[in-house]
Amino acid sequence: MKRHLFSLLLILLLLLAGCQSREVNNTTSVLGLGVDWKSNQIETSVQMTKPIPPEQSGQQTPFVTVSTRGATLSEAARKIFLSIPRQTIWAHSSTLFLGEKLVQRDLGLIMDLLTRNVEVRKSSLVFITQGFSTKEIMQSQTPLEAYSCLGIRDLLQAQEKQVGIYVPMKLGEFIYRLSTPGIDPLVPQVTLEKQGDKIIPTLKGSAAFRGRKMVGSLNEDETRGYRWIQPQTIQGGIFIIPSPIDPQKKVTLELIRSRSKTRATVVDQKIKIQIEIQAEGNFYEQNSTGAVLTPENIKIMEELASREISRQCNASIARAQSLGSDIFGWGRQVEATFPETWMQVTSQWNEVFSEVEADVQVKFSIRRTYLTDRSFVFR
Amino acid sequence: MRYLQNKKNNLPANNTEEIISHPLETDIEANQAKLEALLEHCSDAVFREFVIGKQPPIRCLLLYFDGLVQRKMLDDNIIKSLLLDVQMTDNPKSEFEQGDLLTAVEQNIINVAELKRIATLQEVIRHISSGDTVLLIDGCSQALVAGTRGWESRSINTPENELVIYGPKEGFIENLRSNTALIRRRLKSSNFKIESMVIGKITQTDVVLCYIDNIAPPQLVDEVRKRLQMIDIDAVLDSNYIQELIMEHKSTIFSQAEQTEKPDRAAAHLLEGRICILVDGSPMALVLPVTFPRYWISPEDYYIHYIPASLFRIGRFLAFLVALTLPSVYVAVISYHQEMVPTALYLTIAASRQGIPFPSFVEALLLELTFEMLREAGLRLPRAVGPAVSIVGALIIGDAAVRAGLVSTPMVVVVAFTGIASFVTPSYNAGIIVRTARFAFLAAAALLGFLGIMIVFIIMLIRMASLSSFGMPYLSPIAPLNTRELTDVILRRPWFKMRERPYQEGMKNQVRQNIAGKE
Repeated sequence: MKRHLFSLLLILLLLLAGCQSREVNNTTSVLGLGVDWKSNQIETSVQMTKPIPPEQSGQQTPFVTVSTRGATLSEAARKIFLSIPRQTIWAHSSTLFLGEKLVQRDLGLIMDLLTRNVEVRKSSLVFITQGFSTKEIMQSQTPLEAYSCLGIRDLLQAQEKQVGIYVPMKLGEFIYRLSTPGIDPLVPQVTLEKQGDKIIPTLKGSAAFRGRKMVGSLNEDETRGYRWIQPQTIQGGIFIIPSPIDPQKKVTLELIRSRSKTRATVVDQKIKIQIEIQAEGNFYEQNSTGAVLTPENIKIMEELASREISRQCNASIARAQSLGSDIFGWGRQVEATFPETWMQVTSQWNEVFSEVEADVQVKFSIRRTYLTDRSFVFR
Repeated sequence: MRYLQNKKNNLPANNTEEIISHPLETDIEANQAKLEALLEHCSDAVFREFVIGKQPPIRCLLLYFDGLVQRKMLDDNIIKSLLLDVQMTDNPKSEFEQGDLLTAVEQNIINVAELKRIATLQEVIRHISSGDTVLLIDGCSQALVAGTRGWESRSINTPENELVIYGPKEGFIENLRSNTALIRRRLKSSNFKIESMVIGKITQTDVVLCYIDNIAPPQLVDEVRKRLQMIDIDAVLDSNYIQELIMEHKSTIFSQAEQTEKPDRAAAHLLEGRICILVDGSPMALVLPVTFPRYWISPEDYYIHYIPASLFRIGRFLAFLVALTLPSVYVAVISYHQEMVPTALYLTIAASRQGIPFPSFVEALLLELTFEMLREAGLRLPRAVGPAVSIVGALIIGDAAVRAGLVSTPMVVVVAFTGIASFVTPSYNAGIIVRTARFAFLAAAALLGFLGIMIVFIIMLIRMASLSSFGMPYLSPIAPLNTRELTDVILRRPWFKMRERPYQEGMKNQVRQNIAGKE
C-alpha cells in the first residue's frame, strides 16, 4: 500500500512538470520580432504564420505582421495578444529586427527583456533597419521565400558563401559584445529597395555600436574589411582587383578560405595591433582577354589581391576608429596579453582605441583556375 | 416426469464412468456389451463382428472409429488375413490349441507393423480414439491394438505466416507425426529426443517434448517436463494452451516462448540448446526459452550472405523503434516540442493541420485504431472480398478522411509508415507486443510529451529486465550484457566465425564448430 502511494505521488509529481500541451491548431508560430521607436513609444512588430491549408496556398501571403505600441517592450508585446485569437509559439522565431531610431536613441530600453525572456531565442539573427521602420521591413515581401523574416535571414546566410560581405550576428553574441568591455557589435543592416515594380528587402551596410547606442554605419567595402579581420576562418566570397596586364580592366578572384591573426603589442606605453591575414583563392574571371595566367602575372595578381585586402581592412579600421567603436575586439586582445596596460586604459578605451596603430599584413595565394588554365582568345 | 427422465439419462452416464475402469473379460459378449454401452450414440464407432476357424468358430470383434483409420490397411492386412489365412491353415483349432490363440494371431496372422496388447476398456477407448484398431477375440482377456492411424489432413505446405525468400519452405501441419518427422529429417542423430506425453482429459492430446540430449541443459529439460506433467486441463487444442500454462510470468504481454511454423527454425533452436514442444493438432511449434532481442532474428538471415543479413537485422531493429514510437514522437513534437523540427517542416505540418477538429492525440488514436481494425478485418475477410475491402479501407482512411478534413495528411503518413514498420518484425508474438505497447506510448506522449515517452520506455525496460524465460533473463544478451553473443543478435555472425552456441546455464556442449588453428 505504501509503495503504491509512493508511486502515485511520483506520477503526480511528474504531472507538475512545466510542459504544457499546445495544439498546433490553436497556435501560431512567431517567425520574427521587431522593435522600433515611434512617437516616443516602443513599437513592437511580430510576424506570425497564417497557416493556410495546402490547397489554398499561393493565393495569399502566409503571414501577418502585427504592430503595437507601449511604454515598455512587454507592454507593447502584450497588446498584440488582444487582437490575436491564438497562442503563440516562439520556438521558431529566428530573427530580431531593431529599428534604427531605437538603437540610435538607447538600447537600454529593451536589452533587459531581450536578455531575460525565455521566449526570445538567443540564436536569432539580429538586423538593424536602415531608413525604414521595422514594421515596414517586416511587412515587405521577399522574392522566392514566402515569409519575409525567413527570407531576410536566408539572404544573409546565402550572401556569405556567394559574395562575402556581411557577418551574421546572433543575439547571444550581440548581448555578449554589448556587455563586455573591449568589444563592440557590428550588425548587418537591412533596407528596402525598388527592383522593377517590386520593393524588396536588401542588405545594406552594417551598424556599429558604442556603449548603449548605434554610432554609425560601415559601408559595403568597410564591412568586407571587418570580415577579413574576423578571428574565425572565413570561407567564400568574391572580390575585384585591377588586371595585371591592363589597369583599366578588372580581374575577379574568389576566396576559398582566409585566416587572420590579431596580436597586440605594447611599445613605450603605446598599444599596437598587428593583423596577419593568410588567404587563398581561385582565379574566377577577367572582363577582358589576354594572357593573365602566366606565372609572373599570377605573382602580380597575388600581390594586387593582398593590397586590395589590406586596403579594405584599413578602410574598415579607419571607419571604426573614427566612430570609436571597437568592433574588432582589440580591447579583449589587449586584456588577454597585457592585463596591466588594460587596467590603465579600460575607462577611456574608446578614445584610446581611436588612436591605436594597426598594421595589416596580407598574404594571398591563387590556387586554382577552374575549367581552363588559359585565357579566352578570339581567333 | 422430467425428473424421471433426467434420472434415466443420468444412469448410463454414471455407469460408463464405472465401466471404463473395468479390465477386459474373457467373454467377448460381456466385453461387447460394455463397449456398446460406452460408445452409445457414437455413430462413427464401427463394430465388425466375424468368426475365424470352423471347429469351433471363434468369435472376433474389430473396433475402430470410421475416418481415423486407413481403410485399405484394415481390409488387406487385418480382416483379409484373419478371414482367409486362418481358413487356409489345415487345422486351425489344433494349431491354436498348441499355444495361446492371441499369440498366434499376433505373431502369425496380422501383418501390421505396429501391434501391441492391451487389457483394459480405458485403453481400448483411448486407442480407437487415436485411430488405432482394436481386435477382441473370444476367450482372451487381452485385446490386440493395430496401428492403423490415417486420416485426412493438410499436406505439408509453405507456412502461411512465416514467409521467406531463401531457405526451406516446408511448414508444420496439424499432424504431430509429420511434424516430428520434419524435424527428425533435419536432425539425424540418436541424441535428438522426442519425449511423448498425453495432456488433456477429454482431448487426450499427444504432446511431445523435443530436445537434443547432449546440448540442451538437463535441468531445463527436467523443468519443462515437470511443468508439462503438472498440467491438468480438460482440453489442449493448440500449442498456445501449453505456452500460457507453463510460463513463469503469466500476467504480462511479453511472451516468453516463440511460436514457429517452420521446422528449420525449430531445428536451429534445438541446435542452440533450446527446447521445442509440439502439440498434436497445432501447426505451431513452441520454442523456449526465448529472449526479447531474439524475436528480431529471422531464419532467413542464416541462409543469405552475412553482410546483407547484418544490415537487414539493423534495419529490423530500427523498424522496431519506429513501429513502437513514431506516432507518439509525432504527437509529442507537435503538441509539446515544436522547436524540435526544422522551421520549414514545422510550417508544413502546421498548415496541413488547419481546421482539423481533433487534437493530435485523438487523431492519432483514431487512425491507429482504424488501422488495427483494418488489419483484423483483413484476417477474417473471405478471400474474394479481401482486396475490395482493403481498397475501400485505404481510400477511406488515406484520402476521403483527409479531404473531409477529419485527419491531417502527415498523420496518415505517420500511421501508415508505423503500420509498415510493424510488419517487419519476423515473429508474430513480438509484433503483438509492439502493437500493444504503442498505445501506451501514445497516451504518455499526449500527457507529457517526450518526458512521457521516456517514462513509458523506462517502465517497459524495467518490466522486461525483471522477466525471465525458464531462467533466461528476458533481455539477454543485452542485459546482462554478453558482447560476444550480441554480434549474432544485432548483427549476423558469419558461419566461419560461429564457434560457440549461445550461452545457456548448464549447457552441455557449447562448441558448434572447431575452427582450424583455434582451440
